[in-house]
Amino acid sequence: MCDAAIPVQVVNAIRNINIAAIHIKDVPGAVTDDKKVIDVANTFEAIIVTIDKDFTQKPLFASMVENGSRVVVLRLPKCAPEETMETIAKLIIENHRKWQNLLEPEPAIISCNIYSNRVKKLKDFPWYDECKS
Amino acid sequence: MKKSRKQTKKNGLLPLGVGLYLNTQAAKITQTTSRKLTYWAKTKLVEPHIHRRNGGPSVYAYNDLLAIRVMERIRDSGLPLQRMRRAIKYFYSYLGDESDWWNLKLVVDKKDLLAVIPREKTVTGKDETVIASRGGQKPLELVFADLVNDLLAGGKLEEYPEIKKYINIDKKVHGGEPVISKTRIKTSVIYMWYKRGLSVEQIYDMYYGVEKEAIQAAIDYEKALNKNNGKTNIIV
Repeated sequence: MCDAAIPVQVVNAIRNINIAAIHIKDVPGAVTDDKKVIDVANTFEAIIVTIDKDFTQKPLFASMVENGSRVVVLRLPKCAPEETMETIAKLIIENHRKWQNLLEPEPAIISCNIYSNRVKKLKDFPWYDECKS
Repeated sequence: MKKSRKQTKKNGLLPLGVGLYLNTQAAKITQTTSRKLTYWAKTKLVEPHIHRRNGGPSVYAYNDLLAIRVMERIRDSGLPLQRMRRAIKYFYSYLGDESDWWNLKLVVDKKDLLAVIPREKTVTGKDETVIASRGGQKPLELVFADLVNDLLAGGKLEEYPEIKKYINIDKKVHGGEPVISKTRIKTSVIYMWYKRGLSVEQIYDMYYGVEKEAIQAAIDYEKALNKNNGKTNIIV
């Protein structure tokens, strides 16, 4: 499932090569409600893909991962403006199978760049204990 | 007192929830210091609408400015901190419920804190207290309208019409981060593209269905947020 920050054209492109993908824009009610995003992602056992670094911040991310969501944040390399969408699509195409394996055991977040996929679990975040208490 | 109420009604352009103010602007308008605001945010007395992100400034909503004025007015009354917290809590709850909010009073005495609906608004024709008083000392009385006048005295309240039109802040969407209205696209993401060298035109092409003016408003808004502190909250 691609978050709103991922352009629709990217989703269409990866669908064309038979990668199952859904854009948040296409899910009724999801645009105005974080809970709906979590529910839909969990229903489809989908991975939420975003380019938004703030996903690692406390309120939203904690509620998402605590509710079983699996999130991937793409870290884009510096590239020419006209290559931006191709770069996002390339990262998704090259890594989506790896993400499925890495996120299989438990909900977590992956920070993905052109070189690696770094898995972070909820308890790895410094604010986790504060949240728990 | 009557005069100030009239003034507020006359001004009448201050609907609740409109306007967003950087920490420094909020301090100026509320006639306080940004250091004090930071301290109150840290101690959760008056929390900003949006907390600082990645070194960026905190942003206060219009209601928060009024709450800051409540704090400024009651802190000299010698109330314990716990009671001041309650005052702020009451303040926010009554702001949300009452359409005639400017007629409400917040009464603070040494022993208790009361929200009062004034006599003009009650069936009995007498002031009605929402919480019973236990004290007999002369109370400090705050009419909500006076708080607005405090703000008007403190500085120009900027209206940001384009922000109201194109940018939405809702706790249910991205945990309250600013997004372009009716989308989940955060203004910080738009600004990230802009800083990476994409033109408004190119960003517009990327986000199908989003108005070009909305993209421009998002960029302007993020620029305003990042102004004055030399730091940016962009993702690189």
